[in-house]
Amino acid sequence: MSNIKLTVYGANWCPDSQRVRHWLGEHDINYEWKNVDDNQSIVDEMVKKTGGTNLIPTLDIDGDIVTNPDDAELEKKLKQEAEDDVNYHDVVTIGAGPTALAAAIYTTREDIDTVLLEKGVVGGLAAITDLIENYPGFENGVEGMHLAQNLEKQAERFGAQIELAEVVSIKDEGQYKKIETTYSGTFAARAVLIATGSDYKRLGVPGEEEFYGRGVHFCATCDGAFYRDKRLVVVGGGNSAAQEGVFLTKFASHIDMLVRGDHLKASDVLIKKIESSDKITVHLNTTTDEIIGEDNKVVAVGATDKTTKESKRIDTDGVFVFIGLLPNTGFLKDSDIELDEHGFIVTDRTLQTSMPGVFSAGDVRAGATQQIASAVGEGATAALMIREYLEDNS
Amino acid sequence: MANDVVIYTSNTCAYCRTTKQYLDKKDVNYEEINVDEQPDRRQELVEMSGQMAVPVVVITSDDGMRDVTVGFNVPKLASSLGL
Repeated sequence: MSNIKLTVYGANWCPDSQRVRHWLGEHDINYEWKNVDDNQSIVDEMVKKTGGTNLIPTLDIDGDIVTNPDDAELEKKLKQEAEDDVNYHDVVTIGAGPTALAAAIYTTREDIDTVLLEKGVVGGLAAITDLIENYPGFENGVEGMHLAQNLEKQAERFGAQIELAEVVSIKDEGQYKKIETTYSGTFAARAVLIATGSDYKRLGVPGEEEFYGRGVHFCATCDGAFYRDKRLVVVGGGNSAAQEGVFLTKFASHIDMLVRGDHLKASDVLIKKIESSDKITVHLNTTTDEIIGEDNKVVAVGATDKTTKESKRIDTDGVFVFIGLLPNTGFLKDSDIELDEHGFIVTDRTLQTSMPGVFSAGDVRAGATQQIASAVGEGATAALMIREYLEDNS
Repeated sequence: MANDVVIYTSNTCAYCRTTKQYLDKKDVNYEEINVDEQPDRRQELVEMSGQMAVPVVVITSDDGMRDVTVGFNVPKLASSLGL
């Protein structure tokens, strides 16, 4: 953080004064502004400090008097301060899932200095997915954690830096975009890639929050092993629910799958696996209304059959919820970056958002197909678009 | 202040790996209990934390106070470890 005392003497009509102020602003350096037009005492104070020189802008940097410094001199005098305050990079990605890692492999290979900011798991949702069967190049599928670790190692081999950081805001400051984080300071980049992906939706029913981590779960690979020989409910009928439901049969004695719609919306391979499993019972047209607990433990799920309007109670030891995805764009709510009505980021054909120099790709982008292979492809595309942007704006 | 730090993990849990990376980065020594490899320790975790989830980090300070962090939660871990 900046501890120096900096005073700038200048005037609003003076281009060099404005240049210096602009530079200080861009480098996030605090200073006191003294306008020599305001009164004679300010001019006298300045001339006393310069030893007679009557020239603006004059800077008092902790007692070190500098008159009309050029940018190089400013950098020399104040760079330490600037570096202490803000981490400057060519490219910052927000998120370090498959999209950002793929982008970083491309940018760092071209010596574009790239930092990835991740608030959770490197590899994102892919890393907590048990098995990915449709990622091209792996005949028998690939474990999510394995794919994530390999992407991470590949990006780091070319020089990508991954930092633990939760981004709270992003601002356009001209040549640089400024990125504030909660516990890792401030970053600035010439171009930004928002690839924050998405997270599993919550059900929003009674008992869900209360029993979170104690019977209600959103990560089968994390918590499935606690349900060896126990009964489970899986909520959802899409690919994630199907994949994770199949994974949970490794542990659970029986799984009731509650599907709101009238069919499973998963791939044929997964549907076949579910149909052939003697451990899974699928309940179609069924809403999940309540998680019921007794003695601080989950004991059942309250559900309704939509066709008969009949309420039913399904006894269980735990509930895993996979009912779709929500974009991770909460930190952009009050920003200048346009989101669509569902909270996904709107981009143009070059994957650029409404803020120049800020790009978006992967699950969080409006129109994305929510596939890991697409996410990686979009990451590569974004990297090439960013390279072009940096060349045009250098 | 010396703390005794134990982390409960499982083989397939990516958040566990991330939490360990965080502790490594902060030079925190810890004991790892993998509940896949030591299933007999699973019940102790459930009793101590009331949780059926990993990762769980248990920090016991010199005065015997026990602090439990469930999941990968940097702000909570940082404050529990006094970082």
